[in-house]
Amino acid sequence: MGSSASQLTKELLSEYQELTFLTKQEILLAHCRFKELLPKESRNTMDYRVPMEKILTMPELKSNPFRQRICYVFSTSEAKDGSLSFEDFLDFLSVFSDSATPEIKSHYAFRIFDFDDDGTLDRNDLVKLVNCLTGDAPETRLSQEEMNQLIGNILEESDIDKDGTVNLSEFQHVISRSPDFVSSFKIVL
Amino acid sequence: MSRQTRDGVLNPAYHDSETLQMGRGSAQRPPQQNPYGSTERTYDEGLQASGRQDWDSAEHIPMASLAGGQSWDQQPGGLSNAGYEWDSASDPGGARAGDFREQERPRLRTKRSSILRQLRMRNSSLFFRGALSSSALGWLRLTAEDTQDKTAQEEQQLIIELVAMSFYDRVRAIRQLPVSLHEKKQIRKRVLLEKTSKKGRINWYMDCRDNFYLFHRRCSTFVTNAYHTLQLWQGGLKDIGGKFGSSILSYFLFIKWLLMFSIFSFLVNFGFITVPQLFDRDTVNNGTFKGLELLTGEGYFTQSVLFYGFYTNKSVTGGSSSNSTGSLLPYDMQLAYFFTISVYFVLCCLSLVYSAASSFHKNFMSASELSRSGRLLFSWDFRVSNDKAVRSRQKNLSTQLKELLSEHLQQKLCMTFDERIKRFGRHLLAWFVSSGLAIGCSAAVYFLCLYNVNSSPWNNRSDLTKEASTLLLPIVVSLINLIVPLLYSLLRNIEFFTFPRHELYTLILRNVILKMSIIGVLCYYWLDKVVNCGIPCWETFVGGDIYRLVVIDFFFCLFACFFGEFLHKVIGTRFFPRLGVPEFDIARNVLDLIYAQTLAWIGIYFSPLLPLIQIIKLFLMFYVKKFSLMQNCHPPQRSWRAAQMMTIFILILFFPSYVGVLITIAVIFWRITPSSSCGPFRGLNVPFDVIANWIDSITLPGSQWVVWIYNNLIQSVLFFFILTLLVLILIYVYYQIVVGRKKLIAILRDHIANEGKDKAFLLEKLKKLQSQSMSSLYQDPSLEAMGSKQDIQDREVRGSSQSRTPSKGTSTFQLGRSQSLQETSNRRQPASFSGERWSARDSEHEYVLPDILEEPQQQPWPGASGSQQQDIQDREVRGSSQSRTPSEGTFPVQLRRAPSLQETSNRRQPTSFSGERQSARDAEREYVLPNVLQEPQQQPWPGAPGFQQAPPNYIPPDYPVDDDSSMEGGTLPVSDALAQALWARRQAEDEEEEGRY
Repeated sequence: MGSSASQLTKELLSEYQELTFLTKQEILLAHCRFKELLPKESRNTMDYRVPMEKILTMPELKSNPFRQRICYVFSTSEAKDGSLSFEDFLDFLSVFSDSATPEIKSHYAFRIFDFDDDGTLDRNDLVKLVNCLTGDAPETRLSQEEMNQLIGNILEESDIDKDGTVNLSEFQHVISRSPDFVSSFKIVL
Repeated sequence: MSRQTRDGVLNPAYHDSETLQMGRGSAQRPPQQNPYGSTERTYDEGLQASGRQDWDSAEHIPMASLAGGQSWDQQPGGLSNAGYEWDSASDPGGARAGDFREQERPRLRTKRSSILRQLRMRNSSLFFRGALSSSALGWLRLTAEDTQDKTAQEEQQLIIELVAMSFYDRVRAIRQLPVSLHEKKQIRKRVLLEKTSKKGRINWYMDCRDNFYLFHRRCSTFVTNAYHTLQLWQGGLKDIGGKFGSSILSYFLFIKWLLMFSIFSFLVNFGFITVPQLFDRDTVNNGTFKGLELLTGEGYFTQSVLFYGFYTNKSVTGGSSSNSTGSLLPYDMQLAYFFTISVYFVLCCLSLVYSAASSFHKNFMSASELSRSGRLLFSWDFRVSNDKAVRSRQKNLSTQLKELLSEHLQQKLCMTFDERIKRFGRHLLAWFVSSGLAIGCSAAVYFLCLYNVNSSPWNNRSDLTKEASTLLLPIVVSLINLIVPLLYSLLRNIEFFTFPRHELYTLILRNVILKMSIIGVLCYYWLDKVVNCGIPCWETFVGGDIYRLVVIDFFFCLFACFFGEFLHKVIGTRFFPRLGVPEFDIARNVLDLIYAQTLAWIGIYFSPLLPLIQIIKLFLMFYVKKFSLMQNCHPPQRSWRAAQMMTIFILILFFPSYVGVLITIAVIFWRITPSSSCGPFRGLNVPFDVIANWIDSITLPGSQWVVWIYNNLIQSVLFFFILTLLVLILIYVYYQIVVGRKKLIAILRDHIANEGKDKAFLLEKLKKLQSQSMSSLYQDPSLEAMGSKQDIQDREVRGSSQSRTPSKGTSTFQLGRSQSLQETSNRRQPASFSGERWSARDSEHEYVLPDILEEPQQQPWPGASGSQQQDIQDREVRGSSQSRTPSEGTFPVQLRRAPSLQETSNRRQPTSFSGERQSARDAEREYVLPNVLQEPQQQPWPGAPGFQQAPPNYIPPDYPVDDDSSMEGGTLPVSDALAQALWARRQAEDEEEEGRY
């Protein structure tokens, strides 16, 4: 499918429209933006993978604390280097778009927060998550004690089966109870 | 698109009756159940790669499509043939005990089912690490090839289900799969391929349906595309969100929502009242336009379509004179005016109730139980893209978390009696001051109004100074609205709130009281004083007043932006750095909007084109506020629960605001005599008489029902009484349902926690046992596998499926376990449980061990419908029972399922079911009943007895016993010990529970 055309063919466009939550305009815009990230000589190839460093220069992602996780989660690269092809890029935009369902959003949020990719949010994941949220500066970091208490609180209310970790369904349950999530889990180009 | 069209529409996708049946099955399930389709693959990158080769391989697809081309009955058979042949070939003496890869197959086949939740379950099983030792991971790696097999089969199943769906459902289902786009593409390709390969008889209904869906989809994409291009302020909103986050964004979204509302009301009023009026050439405006009218709404405007007084009370015919010889049908202005206003208010009510209810439901009812820390953690605002904003948010979040943690500790602090009294006194004082202010302001406004109406000689309005003097009242009102809220926020210094949220709510409440009492006083003045003081056209006078209020309020908003925020910033940055940059006060700004909207609603009767003013006002306001925000303000310090606040604002907009307006309008319609010299209702006693006159004049033979409705329903007290009664009963019923659901939720939660405890307990035991026997068993792959939860799970199923093979220990364990769990769930059922719960239970004990060992995802969330699970399960059984010929190998697999599903499989047997198969099923039932079903019914706690009765070497009598158990002999102690331990624990737990009740 992915042919070597700098322009999206009509068929491809409608296929993308069918498979993602994006509208035609959004896909075209994404294509433009993606082309800007490509080096000049490979502008015409569709299956070029943009390395993660390049992706992270986008203003929408530049200062997002989860930017690297986002790249890793959406990358289909075999080398696991976080590089994105155009389709990965569309995938990313689709999940973060307005019309994506809460289920799919929370699914990917879970994977973004699951730092070690083991399928559950355990203590270490939560510690990393909190650190991402509070930033690296020493004055904003939580102390060890505070961190333990916070994570204890979170596990107490999210970990329904009391196994010490938050799994996907528990996470989705929590998310379904925090109405701000859907409106804030969005990135618009 | 072109390929899509061909395949989707011309393809006889649904032509096999069996497929149809399946299609129906899948249609019952909402497509969003699908997302967890093939998670497994995405999670495991290594698998993914190999899986993809599978996708692309040429043999795979033809096979699939061939199978798909046949009936449903054959599909699974075709797919699982390899597995089946292997199954029959593997006799007990075979060397299969060590080969787990192959043993997994039967399980896969039996577990063939929809793509839904169990996939997710299995997925997590793969990645569970928690309490397991490293050997478990080693085992995972070993079984990687199996999972690849499994994945392929699951995908096949997915494809089959997708093919059976209607076009529209399929598109949605594929779109919602949580896999990468590339895989979605492949899946789509395969589905389409499968569909093209199916040719059957033509089914017009399906064809039409597909056509319709395609058409519908095209239309909707067109509409959404158009909508997206039309979307107002897309870029502006993005900027605001990027810099200030979603809480401030919500204010601007509220402006947008109100703007849409105003546009709608403008269109309604303009279309049904103003446009017909413009056709009427009799009433002519002969004033001159001076300019000040824009501000005061006097002079020229009083004689224009802007105000009530200008409208005619005749029927508009479009002719040049009032004799009704015009070419158009007569258009009764009285009726039009009345109906437009009332229908508009009904529509407003519906849309308000709808948005309030949905947002209330979303933000309060379901969000009640989560504490703030969880909410803070999981809802990072991904929109924020500005570097500085990100850092400030991180800082805010950190302080909030810290505060929250300390708050947690402080909550336990008790106040002394003295402190409480003091605090109460402060609150009382603050309330006293605030209500005093509100009353004082209202009184001031009232006396100003009286002065205004007594002194203003409306006869010579031409005088410019007189005209300007009408601006006094709106200016005073706007000043009050500007200053008093500031005073209210100063009260913060006397009062002391533990939770900032309470402070905010109190502030909002006081502001609402102030604004509503001012509007209430104004309404009283308009409807009582103005009506009775002899103004020739009082409606226009009131319309003018409202117009001025709206316009002046807008100017004050601009001034507040400039003087309030801009000067504050200049002073704060240049002169007194202590003051700092102002913070955007969302609550105050939103309340201003609500106040303006209330005025606009009241004004609609007096001035039908007031929404136009409102549109212009809101449009400009957006830009002014945005500019001021970007230039002057900094993001709010506290996390603002934006969504919940929005709900509160919509509720405020509904309750005091809209309901108050409704009451006012009702009073006008039913109680107030319209002025006799102007407006559409001139000459009538009350505006509602329009309807009475109209009903009397209806003579058309076909429209007697209108008269009947009017006489028997609208005018009857009994009807409204019954209606109220019905509504009350309905409310009561729903309230009872809510109470019941709450209880159910509590019980289910308890249940989940118990399952979780079981899981943790089992894992711990496993680990212990494993470490005990590690050294001796290290060489034995089958025992090492015991360490892996994954494998336990396999075995559990395998245990039943191959109980005639040497692995006696596992199978026995399985039996005991299954019974015990079944019983537990029986015992935990409250008597009043619904069918939903039961079906959930069924599916739960179908996956007995996976449930416990992995995670209780099978547990229905309170909202999840158990019937879906039931459905999945049904289909699964159908799949397994039909796909195979009645070899002995199938019996054990059915063992656990048959009891609960006997009925369903009976119901769903295709007519072509062969006698042979039937007998197989009978045999299986015979086997099942004695062993599994009977015991639980007879014994209160059969898990353990069942286990004890079945000694470690217990073999189900129907099966050939094979003594060649040397390979797996070692597993017995492990499973034994586990089952025993679990039973002991269960018993202890149960006693504890009994003690509790």
